[in-house]
Amino acid sequence: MSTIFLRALPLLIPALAAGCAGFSAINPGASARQVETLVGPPASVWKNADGSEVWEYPRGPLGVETYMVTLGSDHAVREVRQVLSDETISKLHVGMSRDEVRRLLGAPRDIGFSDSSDEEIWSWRYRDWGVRNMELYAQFDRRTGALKKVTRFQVDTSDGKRK
Amino acid sequence: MIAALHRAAALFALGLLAAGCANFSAISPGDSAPTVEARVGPPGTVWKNADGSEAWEYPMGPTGVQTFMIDIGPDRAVRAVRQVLTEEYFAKVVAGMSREDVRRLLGRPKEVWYFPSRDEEVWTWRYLEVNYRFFNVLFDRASGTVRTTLRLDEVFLPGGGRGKR
Repeated sequence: MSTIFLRALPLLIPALAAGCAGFSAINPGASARQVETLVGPPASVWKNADGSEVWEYPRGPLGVETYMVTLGSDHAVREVRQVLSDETISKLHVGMSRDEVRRLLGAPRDIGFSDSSDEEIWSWRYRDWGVRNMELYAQFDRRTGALKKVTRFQVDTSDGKRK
Repeated sequence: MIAALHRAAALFALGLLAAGCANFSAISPGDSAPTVEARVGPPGTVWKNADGSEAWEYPMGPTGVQTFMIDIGPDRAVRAVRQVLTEEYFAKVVAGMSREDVRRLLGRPKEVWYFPSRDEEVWTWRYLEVNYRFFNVLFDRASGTVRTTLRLDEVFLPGGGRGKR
């Protein structure tokens, strides 16, 4: 057992390193192929009318990030953004469609429902300032599909023992 | 004319406020069940215990941050009036409890959400502990038993967009 682990170690270390450093190693101008080498294939690809594309990587290396890599029509990287941030969340507004929200923030970690208010609730977990555990909820009217409300919370990890 | 309308509105608002908050503190141990009903109206739910005692549950509406439980003895006299949306009661929620156990402890939740992919049901109460906070109880949906609890502080959205919940 331990022998197998030791043999796998040289393989594991570069895999871990790629997982952590991957997105910061992508520079503007890098080719689509280089992106795939560094961070693997995207979970989703969004195509724009002008031939540019956005590659979506939900849940990032720490499990609490979502990266969007924008490629120009020349298939060279224009920008890399971690979208679970104040900047992106502040762009959400009431009335947006599921697709619009999805394109801003990427796939939610989970989708829930409320029967009493007939809502579909998308949730993301992320880390604010690298330390605060945050929950973000986008509540959609289940019938019209329009965004009704956005709320976010800091999870109190002291289990009620703070004060 | 306008002054009279203003006065009527002010009196009406005062009446609403008084009905909304004052009356639970006016109930004392030993009061009769009819006295309770006269002061605070009929309960939202009545929980009957094996010994003939009852707990009358008064959730304070969808924006409320208090839920009162009035314990009534088998002699139909008030034993205690408890505001249960506090840490004292939240701390009693432990893994393995049933939905009914939690409901009897904290009263009706403000919201119930379910997440099929993780087979979880989340009950939410809003409460006041210096600031407005939220208490979540996470149930295993299939077995209906408590998995864990969470306390959450709302962090308002950038740009002044105040989220409501």
